This record gives sequence, C-alpha cells and structure tokens, in this order.
Amino acid sequence: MTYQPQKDFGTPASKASDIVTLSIDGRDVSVPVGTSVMRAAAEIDNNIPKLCATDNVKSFGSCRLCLIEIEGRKGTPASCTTPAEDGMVVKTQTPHLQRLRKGVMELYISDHPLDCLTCSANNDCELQDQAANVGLRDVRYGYEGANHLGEAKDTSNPYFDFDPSKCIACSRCVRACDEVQGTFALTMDGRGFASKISAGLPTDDFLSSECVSCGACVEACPTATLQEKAVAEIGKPDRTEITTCAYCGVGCTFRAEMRGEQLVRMVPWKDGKANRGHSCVKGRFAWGYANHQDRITKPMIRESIDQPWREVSWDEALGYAASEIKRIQSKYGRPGVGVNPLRGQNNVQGACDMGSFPHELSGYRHVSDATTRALFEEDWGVPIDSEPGLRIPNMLDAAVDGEFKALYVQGEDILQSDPNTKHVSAGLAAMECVIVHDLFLNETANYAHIFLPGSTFLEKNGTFTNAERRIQLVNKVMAPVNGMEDWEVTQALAHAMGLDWNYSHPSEIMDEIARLTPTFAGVSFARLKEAGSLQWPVNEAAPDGSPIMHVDGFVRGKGQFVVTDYVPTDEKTGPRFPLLLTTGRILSHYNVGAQTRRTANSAWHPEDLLEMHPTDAENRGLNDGDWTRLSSRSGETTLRLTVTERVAPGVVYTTFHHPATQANVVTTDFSDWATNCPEYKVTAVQVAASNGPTDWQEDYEELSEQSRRIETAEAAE
Amino acid sequence: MLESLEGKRGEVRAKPPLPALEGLFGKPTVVNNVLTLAAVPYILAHGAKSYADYGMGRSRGTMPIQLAGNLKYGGLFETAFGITLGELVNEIGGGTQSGRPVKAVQVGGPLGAYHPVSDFHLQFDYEAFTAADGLIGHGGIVVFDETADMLSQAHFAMEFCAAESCGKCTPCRLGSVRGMEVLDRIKAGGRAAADPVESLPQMHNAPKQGRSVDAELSLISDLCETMKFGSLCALGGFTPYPVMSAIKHWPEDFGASADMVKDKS
Repeated sequence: MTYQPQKDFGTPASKASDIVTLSIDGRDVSVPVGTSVMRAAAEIDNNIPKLCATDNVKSFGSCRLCLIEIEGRKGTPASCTTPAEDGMVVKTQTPHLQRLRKGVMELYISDHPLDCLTCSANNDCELQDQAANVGLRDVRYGYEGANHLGEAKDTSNPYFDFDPSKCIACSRCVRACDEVQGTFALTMDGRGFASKISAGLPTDDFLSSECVSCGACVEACPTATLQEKAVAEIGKPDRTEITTCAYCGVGCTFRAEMRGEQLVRMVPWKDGKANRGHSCVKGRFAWGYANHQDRITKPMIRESIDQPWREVSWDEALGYAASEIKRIQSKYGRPGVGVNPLRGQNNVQGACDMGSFPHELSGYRHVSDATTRALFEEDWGVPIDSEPGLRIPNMLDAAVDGEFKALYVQGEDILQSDPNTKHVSAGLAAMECVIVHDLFLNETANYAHIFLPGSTFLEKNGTFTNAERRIQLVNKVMAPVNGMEDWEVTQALAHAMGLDWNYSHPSEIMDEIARLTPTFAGVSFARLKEAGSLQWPVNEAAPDGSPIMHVDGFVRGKGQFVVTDYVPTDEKTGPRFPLLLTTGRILSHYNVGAQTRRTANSAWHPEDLLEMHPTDAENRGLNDGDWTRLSSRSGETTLRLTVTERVAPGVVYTTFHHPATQANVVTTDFSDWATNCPEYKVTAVQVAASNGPTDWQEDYEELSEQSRRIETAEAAE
Repeated sequence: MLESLEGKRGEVRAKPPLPALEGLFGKPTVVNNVLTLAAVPYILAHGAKSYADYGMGRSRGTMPIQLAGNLKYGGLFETAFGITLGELVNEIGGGTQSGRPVKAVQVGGPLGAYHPVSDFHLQFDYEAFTAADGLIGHGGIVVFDETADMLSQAHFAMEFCAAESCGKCTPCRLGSVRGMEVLDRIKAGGRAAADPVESLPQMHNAPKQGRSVDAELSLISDLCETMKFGSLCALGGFTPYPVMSAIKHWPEDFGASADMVKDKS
C-alpha cells in the first residue's frame, strides 16, 4: 500500500441503530442518529475542511473551519457539532462559507511559521492541507503582529518533540490525553491569545510531566507541533503495512510506516479490534531494538561456556545443534520432554493454544487422549508420548539432579525472568547442550552452547493471538537481518535432523493447525486478512469466530463453582527478614527488558529501584537514592532506594528489568501447588545500607563479560 | 458557566445539545438571567396578559435600561419596550452632560452597535434594532458627544474582546488581536510599504507594496464577517457590531477615502 494517512471522519461513529437520511450538496446519505453532519459528509467522501475535529475524540467546535449552511436555519453552524437530522438539506461550499473559511485560515497563518518546505510535517500537515483547500493566497495582516513564534522547542521526550511555535491551539492533544489515554497530563494554559498547551506545571517539560508517552497527542496533532523525532530525521513515510505488536498480550495492531526498508514510525491502527487506534509507549515508540548494535545476526557455537563464541554458517550451526540433540537422545535414550511458553508474552495465548503445555496438544487436548494422539500421529507420522512432560521449574530441578540434559530456548530469558536465579543458573550450567534462539546475547545465553539469531516481529510473517483469543496477522515489513524468519530456522533445524518438512509460508502451517484443531477449523490467512482478526473458536457453528464464549452455557451445562481452600505460603517474615518483597514491571519496560532496555525507554527507568515506605526507611536510617542491600534466604543484591508511599509499610517493591540488579537472585523457588506458578509477590527480605555490589553481582558481571566474547569468523582465519 | 460549575476550564460549550436537554453534569439544566427571574413575580401576581400588554411587536413586557456615558441623568430605568432611542437619551437622560451635541449612542453593552442621532427614531424593540444592524443586548446605553473618536471606540471593542476571550475559537482568539493591530495601522494611515517578511524575495506570492487605509478597512470588514459568523459565542460574534457601525456611520474618523465613504453610504 502506498502512503496515505488513515481516513479521519472527524467525529466518532454513532452506535445508534435508527437511521436518518439527509442531503449534503445534493447527495443523499443515510447515517445512524447522533452522527455529526461532518461525519455524514465524510461517509460520502465529502471532506469538509476541519482542524480541531478528529474521529477518536469528541467534537469540540473550536476551529470554525467546518461551518456549513442548512436550509431553513439561520447562521453557519459547525458541522462537527451539528447532529444529522432526517430531511436536513446541507450545503458545504458557498461563497459565504468560502469567505469565512479563508478568513479563519488567514488568521491562523498570520501566527504560524511560513517555512513549510523544511518543516518535518511537510505534506503531512492538516493546516497546510486546509490552507490549500480554502484557497488562501495572501495574509493581509502581514507578519509583524503579535504571535507565538520563536518559542523554545521541548525536546525532552526521547521520541517526539513539542514545538509550541507551530501550535494552533486546537486542543486535540489535550482531548486525546483525556479521552483516549485518560492520563490528563496535558492542559491548555492561559486563555484568549495567551492560550498555550502545557504538560502540567510551568516547571514541567514533557519528560518530567505525568505524560506516559503513549503518543495519542502526537497522533492527534494536526501540525508538526507534536511530532515523532524519527519523522523529523528521516522524512515522510512512503508505504504502510499493517502488523501486530510484539510486546504484551493486548495485541495492538499498528501501521508500520516505512520508507524503503527503514521503519519511520509505528502508528496504532484505527481499525485494530484490540486497540482501536491507541497504544502504549512500547509498541508506539520502542521498536529501535530491531536495529540495535547488540543484535546478533550470525549463528554462533562453542563447546563450553568458558569459551568465546565462534561465528559459523547457518549450516554449521544447525548441523552442530542437530548432532548434539541426537547425541544426547541416544546417550540418555529419551526424546524431548516438553515445550513451554512463558506467561506475559504477546503470544502466550497463541503458544498455549498450540499445545505448548507439557501435557497438551493443540486446542487444549490432553496427551493422554488416544483419539487426539492418533489424529496427530497419522498426520505427522511420528508416535506421540501419552505422558506429560516437565514444566520449566521441574526441568531445572531435573537438570541439577543430572537427569535433564538439553534445552532449546526461543525468545525468552529464563535466567533473568525466573525466580531464584542461582538455581536457574545451576540448572543451565548442568546441561550438556543449551540452545538459545534470540535477538540478543541475553542472560540465558551466558550458559548456552549454540546461539541461533532470531528475527524481530517486523521481519517475519505469522500470527499472534492476544489475551482475548484474537488471532491477528503479523506481516513482514522488512527482510530478516539474520537471513531467516524464525519458523524457517525451525524448519532448517528439522532438515538438519533429517526430517522432510516443506512449508513455504506460515499460512501453510496455519492450514495444518486448522486441519488438526477443531477450534481453529475455520482459520486461514486468507480469512484473517479478510476479517482483520478472528477470535477462536472459528468453526462451522461460528464461522466468523466467537467474541464471547459459553454464551448460553458451558459444555457441562451450568457453570460449576468450586470452593478452593486458601493455601498460605510457607514464606514467612521474621526477625532476620522482616519485610515482604513484591516484584513487578513498569509501563516503560517489557518483561526482562531485553528489547526496551535497548531503546530510549530507559529514559523513564534507567535502573531497577527499590521502593520503600518512609516509615521503614526512617527505621533503617535510609534516604531516597541510597544504595541498599536487599537480601533474602535465597540471595542478595544491591540497588538504589526510592522512598515512596506507593508501597505499604512492611512491603518493598522492585522491578526485574535490569540484569545488573537481578532481582530474582532474591526471590525463592516457592511456587503454587497446581501450576508451579512462581511466588514472585512474596519473599521475606531485609534491607540495609550498602556501599557496593554483592559478590554475586560482581561474579555475574565477570561471567557475562567472559561469556559474551565473540571470535568473528574473519578473526578465526 | 456550566463548565466552571463542573470544575473545568471556563470555555464555551458548542450547542447542541442545549442545556435544557443536557446541561450541568449532563443533566437537563435551565439557565436564566436575573431579568427573567425578576419578571416572574409580576407575571404570577398579575397574569401573563397584563405583562404582555407592555411592549410592542414581538418584544413584550419591560426592560431595565442602564443609561450611562455623557448624560445629565444616568441610572437604571425599567420601562416597556417601544420607547424611542431619542426619548431615552434626551427625555429620560436629559441630553449630554457636556452640553455638546450627541455623536453616538452605543446600545446593548460593550458589544452593541454605535447609533448616530439619525437613529433616534428607532423604537426600543428587538426586531427594530436588528433591522438597523444593532441590538438590544442587556439594555446598556452609553452616550458620546461630538468629541468622541470612533476609531478609538472600534479599537476598544477589539480590546474588550481580546481581554475577555476564553481562547477556544479561532475567530475570537486571533481575530480580536489582529483587529486591534489593523485599527492601529488605520490610525497610522495604512502601511507605506510591505513588511520586512513580505519584502523578502523568498516570499514570492506576497505583495511588495504597502496597503492603503481603504485596503485595511476592507480587511477589517472581512475580519468582522469572519468573527460575526464564525465565532463560537456572542463575544466574538458581537464584537463586529461596534466596529462595523463605527466605520459605517463615521468613516471620516477612520481616514477612509472619499470613494470608500461614498460606497458605504
């Protein structure tokens, strides 16, 4: 698709079911009751000039460009605030209206920079478009009057600039912040001619303000006042591709706006069913990791983890991986024992749907079910074990016990994310072959023998399934810098192991899924493209998917509620560890931060901080910003303290985004009895002043440095 | 007012919806001024017909009129609609305090039109004043004698609009300030040369000569049309009344050319 801005109907759609028919410039149009005249006109591609109206916020009626004449009514009402009525006869272009619009534009341009050609919004600016639309040829006020030009640009946000000299005071940013994001970070300061947009207090800039950098204001801004730095740097995009965000399970869809193979910006897609034109700072802006210098693009191998990495060809890497897998299988006489998705991922739903639990086949069918097994055995031509495999904590336990020998980790960093880091590292170190398939040499890769470079979501085709069972297409917008999409790597590994897999596109894999999984029976790439997204089950009974499941009842009939006993944790506070530690994440970082730490999102969260209530801090003689030692019976780490009433007395909180902190050195290996879900939220700890990193931190940093050494292919020759 | 009562920024709401349908906190709200409420006891005591018997045409009942400015007897007078402007100024107000002849009477408040003595026959009635390009407004009347400079009065109207503007709509926010500037230039006799920006060769489309007083007057006339029909509320919408009436009736105060004066008459 060549570049076109997303269609803007000016005001939100009405959800009413009653229809009215009106005439606009001689053409009849039927719209739901409550639709504005502006939107009704836009429905028939009659684009009434406008500046303050945009269809993701309520109408405001301030710019006075969209005036219209209505037969039998006095005056020139604004089309954005006038609801369409049955039988209304509207004119959108008359000599009187033309004069009024030109008059409004003449006022705007008398207080606006004139160097459009060098403006970052050149040709992508609604002010410019409307000046063209109304035929403005002369600004008779001249350019010496009072103005808002020459104001300082606020460049504090790492992703967008705020250039108040270009502001037309339409309040679209303020309304987007209020109505779309709900953060209320922006306001119109002052009034009359002195009106200006402000991010909070006069002392605030965008970075220090309440702004969460979601980008709704940038998307709403009709001029270059709020604009992506990337557009200023690169220029206007020239093509767009719709794809799905690779961060969390919301499944926001975006327009990747490109110039050649260069991504210019990610703009939330208005037709996205999960996000409807909105997103957060990660999906909107934090995609720079895709081109980060840390990105590993060549396969690497080594015999033991104290050796440096050696860059090799794909053939050699895959051949080595296949031979190691076969060696271990024949030595210990056991095939694989299970695959595991980790929660919190964008496609964790999709991974679970596909049977990546150790006890299930796709569509949540237990491996003990012979009929289901037979279905797969016939299609795949291999026997399937009727016994469930291991969960990750069990795999690590088994590795420490010397019973689990090899692991293939794709796109996950269990060393940093899983509890009790010392136990994870001991498990990994005990294995004979660890294969990491990732974008970066992550923490788990410190213990790996084979590294297969991965492709980012921008570089591959496929689907992600979000938390509401919504299957959405991921579309390749640029060639994979490692040479292969991830599914191609998997297929190449299969080839190296002597298997004859011949998929030529992920759509063929989806066809296989549909063939073998009743809940996916009606899913195909063609259907997904046509419908935009589908929520499973998609089958004969629900050919367009199932937004809500169990509408009239559950499979068993009525829902059955079961009272479960509360099982308290064995983790208890006491004299040695009197505080409770809870770990979590913050908005600007994603999971272990492998991607977001390699973007400017670090501006908001450059390090993990320990949050503590003022009373607890005072009792320990600790102040805001102090280095502190956080210890539990599992281990200890050091990090800076922030004193805040966000946490209750007796509770401390930190994030696990930064490997230098390794908050999971402190967490325990307690987990719940049913699912082995780790107990990240309850660890008994003590906090004291510190004057340096712990032994673990120092040792680990040295290990990381040693483990990340790479001998390039050239150097080896 | 409703926005302020809700604790929000004091800005004009676009209508519809009318407050009677969707007003304070989204609930139906009746907004009345004190005039209306003050009329209620009389109507309840004496009946609707008795109240409606006062006045003329479609303007029924009484109006409290504030007489002010250069007048012998200023003050507040409530009277029935239908009294002439001349009666109000000369009989009730007693003519100018300075003793000089009346030049202009502003009717309706700071955003009312300026009327010359030739309008003294006008009856105080909404329709009659509308027909004469004026308005009744809140019934304020300010009298000026022959020493008044109507250019300064026009400028004051733009100043008033700029000072009171909430800033929401463009015609009022920017137009009031540009209006003051244009009137300042008219006072200075127009622009002798293009401004420094227009003079740049890079500004290929901009005129390279100055702008005459007539050109500036035509600009202010266009601005007033934009403000009158384009503004969101009565502040910007009514500012053109004092400005355009001053230009229409006293073009000589603006230095308009003889041709322009002739066109206007």
